[in-house]
Amino acid sequence: MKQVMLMEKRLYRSKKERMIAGVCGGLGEYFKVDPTLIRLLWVVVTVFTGFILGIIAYIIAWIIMPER
Amino acid sequence: MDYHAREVIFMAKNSEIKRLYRSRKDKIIAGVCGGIAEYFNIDPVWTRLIAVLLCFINGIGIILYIIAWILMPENPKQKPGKMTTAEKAAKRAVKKNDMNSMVIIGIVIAVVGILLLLKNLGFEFSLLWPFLLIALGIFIIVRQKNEKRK
Repeated sequence: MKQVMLMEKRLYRSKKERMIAGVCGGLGEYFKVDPTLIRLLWVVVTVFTGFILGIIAYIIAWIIMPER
Repeated sequence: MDYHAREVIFMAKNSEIKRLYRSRKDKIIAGVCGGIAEYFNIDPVWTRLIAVLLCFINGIGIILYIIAWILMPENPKQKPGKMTTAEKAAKRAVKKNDMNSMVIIGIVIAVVGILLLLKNLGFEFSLLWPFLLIALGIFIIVRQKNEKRK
């Protein structure tokens, strides 16, 4: 059981890497990618898809993802 | 292993990540292009050239620059203050032989060129986003698979 726990990779909102709620920071920690890159991508996609989509996705992620 | 030990391992892994910062040494406006150049280890002339080219596609370059300015933190490892010309020349000499970075520059310039061409042909740019998302999705899947193999 303990072994399984260690192998398990979980998606959390980051407490350390955060600008709003730590969603992008958490994604960065999960994928081992610089959170700045995730934020850039998120904002760029949000801006060029007309804002609403990205903002809703962020809020959903904020609600669904637990804090570490 | 308890929670604390896991956290320590996690933090150690986290610090290995290559991070994107705004450069404090190589800056003209806010160090965005200089920082990107440092990230890819290329000459900042190229990132600046690409940024300027992007400005001609409906001003995308300007929007992207401002977004990057806000989101990219300044490099905490660098002391403020510009590089001397001697330092710049030395840096450039080292980078000249880097084949990988030239490939990156080539790809980016080609992509920007294609975008400019599409724009002049009256291409609807909103069509581009689905393809970008598909590419991103494939990238994430491939990356995860590669990590599992390790």
